[in-house]
Amino acid sequence: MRAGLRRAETWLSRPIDPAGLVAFRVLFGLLMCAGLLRSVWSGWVGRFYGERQFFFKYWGASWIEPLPVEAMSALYVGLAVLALLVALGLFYRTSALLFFLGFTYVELIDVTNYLNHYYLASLIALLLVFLPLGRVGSLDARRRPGTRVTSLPAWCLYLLRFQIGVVYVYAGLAKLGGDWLLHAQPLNLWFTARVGTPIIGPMLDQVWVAYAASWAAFLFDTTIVMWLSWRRTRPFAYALLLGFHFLTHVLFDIGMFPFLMSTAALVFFSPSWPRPWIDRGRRLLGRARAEWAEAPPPRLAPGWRRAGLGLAACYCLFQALFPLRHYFYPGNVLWDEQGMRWAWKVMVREKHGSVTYRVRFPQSGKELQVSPRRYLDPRQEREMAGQPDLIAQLARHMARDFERRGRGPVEVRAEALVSLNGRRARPMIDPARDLARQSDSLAPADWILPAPDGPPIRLRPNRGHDRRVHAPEPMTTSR
Amino acid sequence: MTRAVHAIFALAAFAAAGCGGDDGGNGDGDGTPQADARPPDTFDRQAMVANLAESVMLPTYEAFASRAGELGPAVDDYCAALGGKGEAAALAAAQDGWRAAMLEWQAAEIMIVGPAAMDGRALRDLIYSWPVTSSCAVDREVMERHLDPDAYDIGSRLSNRRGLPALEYVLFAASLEHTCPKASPPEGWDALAEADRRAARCGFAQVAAADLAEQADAVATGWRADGGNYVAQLAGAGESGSDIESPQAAANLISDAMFYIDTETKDMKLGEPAGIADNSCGAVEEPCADELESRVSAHSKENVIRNLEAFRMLFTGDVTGAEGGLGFDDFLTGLGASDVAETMTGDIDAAITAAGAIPGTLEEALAADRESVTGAYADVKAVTDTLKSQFLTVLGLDIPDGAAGDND
Repeated sequence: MRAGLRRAETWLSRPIDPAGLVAFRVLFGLLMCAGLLRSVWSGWVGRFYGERQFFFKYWGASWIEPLPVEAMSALYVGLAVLALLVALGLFYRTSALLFFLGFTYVELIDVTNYLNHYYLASLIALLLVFLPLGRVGSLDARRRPGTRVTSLPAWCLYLLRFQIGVVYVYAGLAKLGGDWLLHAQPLNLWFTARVGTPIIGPMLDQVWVAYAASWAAFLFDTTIVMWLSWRRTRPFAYALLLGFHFLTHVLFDIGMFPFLMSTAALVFFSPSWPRPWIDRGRRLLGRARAEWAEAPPPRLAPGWRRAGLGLAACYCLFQALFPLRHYFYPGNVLWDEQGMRWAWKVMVREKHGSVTYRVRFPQSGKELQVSPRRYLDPRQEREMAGQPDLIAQLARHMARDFERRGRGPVEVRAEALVSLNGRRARPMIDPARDLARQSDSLAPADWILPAPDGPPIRLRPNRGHDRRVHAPEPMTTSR
Repeated sequence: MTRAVHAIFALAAFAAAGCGGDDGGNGDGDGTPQADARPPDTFDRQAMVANLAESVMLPTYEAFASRAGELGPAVDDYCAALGGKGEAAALAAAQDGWRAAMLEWQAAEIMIVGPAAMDGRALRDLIYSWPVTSSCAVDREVMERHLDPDAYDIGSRLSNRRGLPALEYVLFAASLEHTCPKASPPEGWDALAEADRRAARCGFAQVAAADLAEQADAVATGWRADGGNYVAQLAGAGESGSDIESPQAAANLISDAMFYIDTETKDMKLGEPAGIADNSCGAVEEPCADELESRVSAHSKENVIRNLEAFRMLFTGDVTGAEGGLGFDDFLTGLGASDVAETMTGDIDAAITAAGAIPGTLEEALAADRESVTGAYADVKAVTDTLKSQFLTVLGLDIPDGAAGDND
């Protein structure tokens, strides 16, 4: 056992070419910088923090509040600068730490802003804090040559590979369900709405296309790590990956996700993959070819090293187990959403709902109907309508609000009709339960009604969609 | 390895063949949507958008422009008849003119797309600023114009002092007292005799009616082929010359406008006055007449009915009295969700019937038969529940302003 651990330690600590990891640091930093500036440029900072009157809190993080909108804008710009510093490797560790804290803070302000790729960005930023990627190919290394290294320990690369691998594998396993594989939903719904897409649009409403894409996406996500890890298949797998993410970029509004994953997947290449480009660049600049030295990187004291490796192992164990927590909840996670977040369930369901709150005044026995719109912006309302914990959270806020206005105490019930993957809308919340009295917890929520058990809708192809019909009598086109 | 890959693809092919071979028939008896047996290749969403633009929306805006144009002469006749024998009849004719214009506008309210929606709905607000209205502000405008008619320029005034709400007030208000706080009355109003007050209001009504006709014409012109040609923007969505990226995006613009029946018709026009929704009176399950939309003219019920009728026109693509146009019901049916189309059509008809069955005016019904109003509210809610859930999901549409930001 001990010998095995020692061998593992030696293997993980062996020096590798730092070029690939430096390239990862640079590309990640630049991507995050661009993404954050895009958020400011698009006006999302104002919309998400300045115009909202209520923010959905994460369990255990209810103390997190947004700053005034001007400060939020400044924070976004500051985070973009920090991301750039990470890319440049200037004040690397401090920049990475501040970026991680700031970016995570921004994402924890409102649950309706949750995106899997933001979570991934936070995790990568956290890992960067601990990875010594600023000691080579960086301005820090130029500033303080004494700290410079010519190689990095292999565990840095494996940790990143593990993290990216987890995303793909769990995103694939999330598709292992009847709706996705047997009914091609929600892709059939999404594709049918995108028949206007250039070139491929006209075939997108064909049912077989949705089936083929569903299975292809499932197989892609669950096996791409394997293909990327195998040297002989790696170039083809990466080309496939680029094609896959390009398609998702064209078809869906998923922002940075395709770029982030296309960049992150480079960690599966040989650690020396950027060398030809670096050499070419240096030649153009008239500089000598840079070699990396196989000399072991500066080593920590054995105790610290083992503690570090132990910590990394704990991190990996957590990342491997945490996305599986939905198995501890009864019911369909796509419906009750218990265990949905932080689990890489990327784009696996389409939900729209109509939620009306019934606020009852126990003293008079009278009741008011309150629209969520009174408290939420449209994006928040759309996100909330399919997520039971958010529906309950707004109910509790509503109860407090009525009480604060001198109209309480009140009972708050929700009438939530939700359509999952095109099924007929069903009540999602027990309309008899006073949600104002349901505390926020991780325990299974018995006030969530069971998921609809029938299959989802299957849309029929409509091949006439792109044909412009100039009907002589528009009122009698067809029926 | 090769064998394993073959097995996986064989499994995929089997699943696709087994599950994707038919075009529907996946109902399970518990309400799961059933795809009907109509053959594919029958629906064109661009044709639907074109039909809605050409046959429903443009005619609605043109009808409104026509009614608004007719209102001016009616108001002129009333002003000319002031103090004479024909005053009451002329006033009634002017009020009828307002009602006719209002009915057309209430249809247009469901269709705020294009010219009326541009620049933060600037044109829409100039025509109908509700719920931002102020009778006191109108009182002040009346007096300003009365004191110096030549210098008065309504074009420089805020929207809550113009358009249909201002005209409603000056044409229908029974009292000749102003509605401003006693401490700050409109300058000179208290000194006016009753006849002068009538004349002052009438003079303002003439200016406001002319302004309304101008704005109505601006909106209609924005739609017409010989004007801004917004019809072509919608109907040609996705083609060169249109700023709208696809027929799907055009359909989403129209469905965004249709959400009016949720936010305004259901909640503000029915829910708040009936004490179903939170209101300015703080009334719970009791009427709050202050929230009525057109209280002075007692036209609130007709507004609701017209909203629902216009919603039906957009949903079915059929204008009143004619059938066969392409609408969202055909879109749903074309995608195999005819059950959703039928449910929604039935619910819309039920809501129109329920609103029409409200006895007397809405204010009278709230006092004497509140259940008739709560019943209509429930029927409209049945429509909006499906609108916000399965309608959006099946058609791949989004809620208004809901698409900001990324997804994953």
